[in-house]
Amino acid sequence: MLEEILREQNPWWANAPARAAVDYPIRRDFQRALLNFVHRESRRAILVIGPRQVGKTTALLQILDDLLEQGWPAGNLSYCDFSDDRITERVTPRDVADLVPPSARPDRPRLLLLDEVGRADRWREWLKQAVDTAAVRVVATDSAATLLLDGGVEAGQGRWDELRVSGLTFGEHLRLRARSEESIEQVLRRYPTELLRYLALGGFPEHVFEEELRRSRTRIRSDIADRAIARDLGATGVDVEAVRRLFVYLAADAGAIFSAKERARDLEVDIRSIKAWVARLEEAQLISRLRPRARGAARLRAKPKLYPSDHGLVSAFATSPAPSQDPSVLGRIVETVVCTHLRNAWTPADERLSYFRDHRDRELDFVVDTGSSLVAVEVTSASNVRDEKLRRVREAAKALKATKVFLVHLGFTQSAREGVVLLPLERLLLHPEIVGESRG
Amino acid sequence: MLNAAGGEVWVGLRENDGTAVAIDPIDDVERAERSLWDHLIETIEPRLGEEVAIEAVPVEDGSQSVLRIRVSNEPGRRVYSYTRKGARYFGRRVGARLRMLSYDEIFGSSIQRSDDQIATIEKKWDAELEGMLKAKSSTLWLRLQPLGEVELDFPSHREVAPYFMETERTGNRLTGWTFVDPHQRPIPRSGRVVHGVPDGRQTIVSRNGVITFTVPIEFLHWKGPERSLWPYALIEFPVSIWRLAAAFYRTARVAQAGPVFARMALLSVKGWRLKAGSAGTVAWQFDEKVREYTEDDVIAAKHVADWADATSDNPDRCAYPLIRSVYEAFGFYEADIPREFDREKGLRFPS
Repeated sequence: MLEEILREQNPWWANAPARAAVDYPIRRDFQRALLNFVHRESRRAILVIGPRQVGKTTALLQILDDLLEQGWPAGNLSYCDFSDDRITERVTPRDVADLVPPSARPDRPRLLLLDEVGRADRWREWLKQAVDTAAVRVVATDSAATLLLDGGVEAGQGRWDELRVSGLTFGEHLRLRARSEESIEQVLRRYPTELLRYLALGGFPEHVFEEELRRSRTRIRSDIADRAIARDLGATGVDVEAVRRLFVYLAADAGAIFSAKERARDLEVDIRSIKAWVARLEEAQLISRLRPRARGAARLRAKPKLYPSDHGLVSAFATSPAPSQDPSVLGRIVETVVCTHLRNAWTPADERLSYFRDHRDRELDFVVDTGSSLVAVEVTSASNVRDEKLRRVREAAKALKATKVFLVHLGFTQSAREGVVLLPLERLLLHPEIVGESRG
Repeated sequence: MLNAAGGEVWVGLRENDGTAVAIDPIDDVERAERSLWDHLIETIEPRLGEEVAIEAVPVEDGSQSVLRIRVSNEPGRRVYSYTRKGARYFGRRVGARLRMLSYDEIFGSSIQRSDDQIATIEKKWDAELEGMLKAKSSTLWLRLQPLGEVELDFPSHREVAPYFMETERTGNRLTGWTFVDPHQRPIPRSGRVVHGVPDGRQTIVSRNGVITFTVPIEFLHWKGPERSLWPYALIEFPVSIWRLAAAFYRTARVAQAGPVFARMALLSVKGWRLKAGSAGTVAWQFDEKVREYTEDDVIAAKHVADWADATSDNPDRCAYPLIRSVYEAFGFYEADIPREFDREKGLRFPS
C-alpha cells in the first residue's frame, strides 16, 4: 500500500523527466538556503517550520525539481507527503527510507524529503538515528503548531537545524506576480497598486492571485482558526474556544502593548492560562513578540507588543467588511507588515528589534539596533505626514538618542524633513535593510 | 435666425408690415453695439461665436449709423435658446415673426448635430488609430469627448493629483484594474493633464473634457494561458475611466450640456483569447468557453452616453455597451459578460 502511494508521489523513479513543481516556477528566498543545505557536507537534517500555507510543501517540491535538473539520480530522491489521506496505517519515516527504488544508485547519497513529518509515527527517534548513522540526508517540513504536540522542535539539538519560515515578503509577492525575466519595477508598472493588494491579502502564497479579497480572508480565517488553532493546538490540550477568542483579540489589537491581566479579564480566564496560550501561539508562529527597548531587570518587567505573524491575519480577522479601507485596521495592517519585514531583515529579531516608550509616553513603533547605532522607525498609514506627527517622532527619537529616524508612510515619495526621513512603505518593504544604511 | 437658415436683422430701420419704410438712426452706435452684444451673450445659449456679426452701417451724410446683425448660414449648427424673465425659449424666426420650436425640432436637430460632430471626430480619431496600428501598438485605447461645451479646471497639484493617484477619489477599487497609479504624478501640459507613461498606462484629461486612456493589452493578461484577456481587467479599465470622467465632469463648468461620445479600440488584438463568464464561479474552472480573436487586428466599439448618465453616481453603465461590443467581437452573447458587471447596476465586486 505505502509502496504504491510512494510510487505515485515519486513519478521520477519510473520516469526521470517527471517534475513535481512545474506549476510553481517562482522560488521563495528560503528555497536557496534549503538547496545550500542539501549541497553542504553535513549529516545534519533540516526541519522547515512555519505556519500553515506559507509554501513549505512547494519549496520541497521545487528542491526535488532543482536536484533532478542538476543531475541528482532520480532513484536517490524520495518524497513522502505524510498528510496524504490514503496513508491510513501508522507509517514511520523508516518505512519510507526502506523503500529503495530499483533506479537508486548505491554510490550516491540518498535524500529524503518528508512533508508534514509531524504526522509520521516516531519520527523524532528515527531522525536522530538516521542522522547519527548518516544513512540518508533528510529535509523535513511541518507546521510549527503540529510540532508542538510532542516537543519535537526542541528534541533535535545537534541533529537537525531549524529553518523558520513565514509569509511572503512584498518582494517575493511581486516576484510571484512577475512574468519571466520581468523586474520588480516592471511588475509595479503593470500593477501600480499592488502594495495595497498585498496589504489586504497578506503574505500567503495561495492567495496571491485571488481576485476576491473576501474569499481569501475567509480561507485564511479557516486555516488559522479551524486548523492551526482548533486542530493543531487543540491536540496539545488547550481550550480551543478560548484560544481562538484570544487570537481574535490579538489580531484586532495588533501592535498593542500586551497586558495578560486585561486579556484574562476580557476572556474571564486565569491570567496564567493567558500567558501559557500566548506562549503556545508564539511557538506555533501565529504571533510574534516585540520587546520594549529596556535594559537589565526593567527589560523583564516591561510588557511586550504582540503582532500576528502575518499582516494578512489582521485583515482576515478584522470585523470591518473592507479592512484596508478602514483607517484603524489599515493602521494595524501597516504596522504589522513593517514588523514582519524588519524581523526578517534584522536577525536575531529578539535582540535587534524592539519598540520604545518612555515615562512621558513618548513612543516609537520600532527601534532597530544595527550593532553600531539605534535607528528609530515610526509608522503611519497616512500618505501625507502631518507636522504634529513629525514633531512627536522627533521628540521620541531624541529621547531614545536615535542616530537616524524614519517615518514610514503610505505615500510614494521619499523626502526628508527636519532630520526625519519620510520613507514610502513600498520602499521599506522592498529594502528593509535600508534603515541600517548610512544613507536612508 | 440662429435656429433657421441665418439672415440679417437691422436695428435703426422703421418697419411697416414687415417692410422697412424709414431710417431711425441710432445716436450712440458704439454704445448700442456693446449693449446689444452684452444682451445677446447674456441671454443666448450656447455662447455666440463667429456665427453672429454686428456692424455699424453709416446712413445719410455719414454722421449717423444703424446696426446690421448678420447671422451666417451653417448647416448642422447647434440649437440656440434665449432667456426671458428667467425662462428659456427655443424659437425660430419665420419672416418677421418668431415661432417656438417643437420638441422634435429641438432634439432632432441636436441629434443631427451630434451625428455630424461624431462623424468629424471619428474621422480624426481613425487617422490616429491607423497611425498606432502602423506602429504595431498593442493597446487598449479609450477616448471620451463631451459633445456639449464643458470646461474642466486644473487648479493645483493638490486638487488634481488625487483623481489620478488615489482610487477613492473616483470611486474605484483600491486593488482593481484601473488607470490609478500612485507612483506617477499628473503633469499639466498646455490645457491638459498627463498622467502616466506612454508605454504603461497613461491618462490624458483635457480642459475641454476629452479624456484619453491607453494601456498595453499585455496589462490585461493576469491569469490563464498567455495572450488571454483577463475579463475583469477588460471591464474595469474602461469602467474606471468613466468613473474618472464622472468625477471631473461633475465639477466642470458647463456652457451647454451634451452627450459624451466614447470610442474604445483594442489594437493588435489578433490572436488574443477571451473566456466567457465570471471567474468567480465554479463553472469557470470547468467551462472551456474560450474564443480566440482571429478576424482582424482591431476591435472597435463606440457609444454615445447621455450627459446625465456620464455624470451620474453610476457612470459604469456608460462602459457597458463598449464591453458588450468587445464580447460580441469575440463571438459571445451579453450573457457571457461576467455577472459582476450588470447593465444597470454597474460593476460590483464583493468587498
